[in-house]
Amino acid sequence: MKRFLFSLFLYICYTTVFCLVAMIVTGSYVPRRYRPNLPFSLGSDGFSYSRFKQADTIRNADILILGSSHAYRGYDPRIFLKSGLKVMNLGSSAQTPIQTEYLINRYLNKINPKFVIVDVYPKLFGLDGVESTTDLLSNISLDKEIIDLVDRSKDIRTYNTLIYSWYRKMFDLNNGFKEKKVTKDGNRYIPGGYVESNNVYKSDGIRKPDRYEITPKQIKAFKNVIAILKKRNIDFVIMQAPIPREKYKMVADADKVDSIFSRLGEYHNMNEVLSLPDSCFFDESHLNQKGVDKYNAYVLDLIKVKLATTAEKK
Amino acid sequence: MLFNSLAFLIFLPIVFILYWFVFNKSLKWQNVLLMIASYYFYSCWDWRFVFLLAFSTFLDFYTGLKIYRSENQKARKFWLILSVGTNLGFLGFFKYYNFFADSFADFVSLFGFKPSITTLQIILPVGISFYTFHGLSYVFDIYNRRIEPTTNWIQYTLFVCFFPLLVAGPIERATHLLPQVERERQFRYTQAVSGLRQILWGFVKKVVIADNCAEYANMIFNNSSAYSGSTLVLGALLFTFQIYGDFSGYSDIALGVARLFGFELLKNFNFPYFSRDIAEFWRRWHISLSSWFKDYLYIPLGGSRGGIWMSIRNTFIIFLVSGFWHGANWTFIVWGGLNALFIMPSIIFKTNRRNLGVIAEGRLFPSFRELLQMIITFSLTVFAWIFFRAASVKHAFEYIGSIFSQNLFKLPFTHAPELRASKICLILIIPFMIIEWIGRENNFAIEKLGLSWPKMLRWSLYSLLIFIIIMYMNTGGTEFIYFQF
Repeated sequence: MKRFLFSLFLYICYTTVFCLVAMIVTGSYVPRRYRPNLPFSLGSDGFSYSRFKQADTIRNADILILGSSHAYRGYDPRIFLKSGLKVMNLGSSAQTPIQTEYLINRYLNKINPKFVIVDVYPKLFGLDGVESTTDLLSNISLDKEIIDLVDRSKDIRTYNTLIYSWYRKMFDLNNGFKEKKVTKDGNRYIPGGYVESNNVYKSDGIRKPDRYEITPKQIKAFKNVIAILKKRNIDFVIMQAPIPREKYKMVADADKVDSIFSRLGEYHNMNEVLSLPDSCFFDESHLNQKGVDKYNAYVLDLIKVKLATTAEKK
Repeated sequence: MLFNSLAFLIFLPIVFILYWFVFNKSLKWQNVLLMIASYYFYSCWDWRFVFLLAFSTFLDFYTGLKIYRSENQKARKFWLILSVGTNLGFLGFFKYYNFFADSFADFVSLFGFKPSITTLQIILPVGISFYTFHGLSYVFDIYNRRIEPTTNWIQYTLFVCFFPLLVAGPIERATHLLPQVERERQFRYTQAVSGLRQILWGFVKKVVIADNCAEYANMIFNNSSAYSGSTLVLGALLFTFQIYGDFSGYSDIALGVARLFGFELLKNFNFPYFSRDIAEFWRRWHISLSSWFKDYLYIPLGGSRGGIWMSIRNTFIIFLVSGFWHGANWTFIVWGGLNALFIMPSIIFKTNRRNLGVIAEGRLFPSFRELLQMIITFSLTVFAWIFFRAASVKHAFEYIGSIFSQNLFKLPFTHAPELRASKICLILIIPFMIIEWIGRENNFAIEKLGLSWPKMLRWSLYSLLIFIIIMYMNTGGTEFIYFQF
């Protein structure tokens, strides 16, 4: 028995080292699609690397935007800047409220915004958030809180990505990395965190019934985000950016979701306000530049009023 | 508690340490520990069914003693019928009540009646088919005077509820397991290490092969009308590897875990996809169930002793019953019937015991004839699995019809981008089957793989398998298929 336990102990030590080395080799040389449980990806279609690099240096923006790809594809800082408003968009791919809570804790003091737009895409409230956590792990500097985020996800993909990211950051392997400013699909990174696209969506005509499922842990994290903003006395608005009309019509429980969000703060479901044609979208979920121009004009009017009211109060 | 869960990875070392370090001085206390651990393991699914398990155990223990002590045949038969009737009554109620109610309603509606039959919201107790058969084999063996009953209820309880085999087998025999429960067990280094190797291979089969195949097989079967013929073939192939990886993976883990405690369980799988005919396949697939049906149904019915017609009849009976054992759905019965049809030529021409050895024994490659036989047998098996997996018999026929009517010769991935990632399954299956082929003469594929290599190289092989699990385990994770049976 002693021999067995001793051998087992030695073997566990050996296999730990073996797996760490194998993970480093795999992460370094195997293409992303052939390593499903190590989804590390430095830079991406969502330009997370560039965005968070900028977020680390920016100070005192007027408006902070939080949310998923709907956020970083939905609010163009150039439009806001014309009205003198400096914007930092912290949207990231498939970001769920759990990651939003982490990001707001990390960046709120630095960015110190006057106003926050919390963009919500209800579909993401039903996700586990693994995709977003691995995106953050790949593209931002590691801190203690992100390890807590990994631990909360309890998913092998986030643990693997944490280990590999930690190795890369320990040896400064991300130094010198330059994210492309335009992807092959025509997505362009705009300073301030926005991703511009001029592609136009062509509907395939297939419409499937859809539902928004909201998990308790995501709604709890979302309430935490709102509580942080309220505690800091930062004015905010909850926005749901529009999606193609036909797709929105297939959602069975949009009213239920609206009632949840409207209880948490000022909430605008833009699917009910703006009726944009398919030519304003670049895929079945996101606005293109034409759509953003129209949508942001509405948002800007709304925010100007809100900021004026806030200024009057002060 | 699933084998592939964090809870089990904590549970197993705790029981192992208590078993070998705290209770190692007393066989009785070792058995008590395993019994308590097994009941805890079972209660993690649904504690209410612990009482059913305990009742079934008590019934078989008691009736076993009564059968043995009864002096006249009438009394012996009474106790046997009581045990069989009650056990099958529970099984029938929990597993088949709704099926019979629905089928009866469908049948009488053919004659214009519209019966109002109530179906019930019945939860199927996990493992009921396994532990019922487990207990029945004990009672049958006592009735047939093959064994004497045990008078030690702790030992009998452990025989029924031993946690590695409790929920999905192998279906043990009292003649094989009970003596192991009764005698003192010594820790043996080679047995424990071999157990760990088997557990490792079982995990590769389950979380790498089966769970990855399951993701895409489910996608294709659940939406079969939307896919091309070639994609449907891919779906059937993926399910073929899913069910093998899932069930034989479970069995490997069960056998490996049992070895850690000094037990040797019955081998349940013996590389079935390397069979040269269907009869050989059934000697290699779910061996403990096939042999159970052979010993307690086929042979009592007369086996092949009454000539060819009796042999044909009995073969059909055991395959149909075996199909029905798998679940309360006509798909399983058709699947059983189909396998009976496939095996029929070998029964009629008495060639069913032709391929008793290992294919290409002592050689690396099979002959052309063996390869052809293997491909034909494998294809028949894949075809039959379509019925096993389909939601209904109608769905199975539509699935098969669509294979031949919709773009059979177009690449599966071109029309279904959501399936492109399934290429990873194919990439994983090929080396997996090569390792299985290399190890086909052993109890499990990696039993002897690398044993003659230097230690570091051998450890690297096992570490590589662990790394493959870490890198390719499907994070969606599914329960073991056979839990539902």
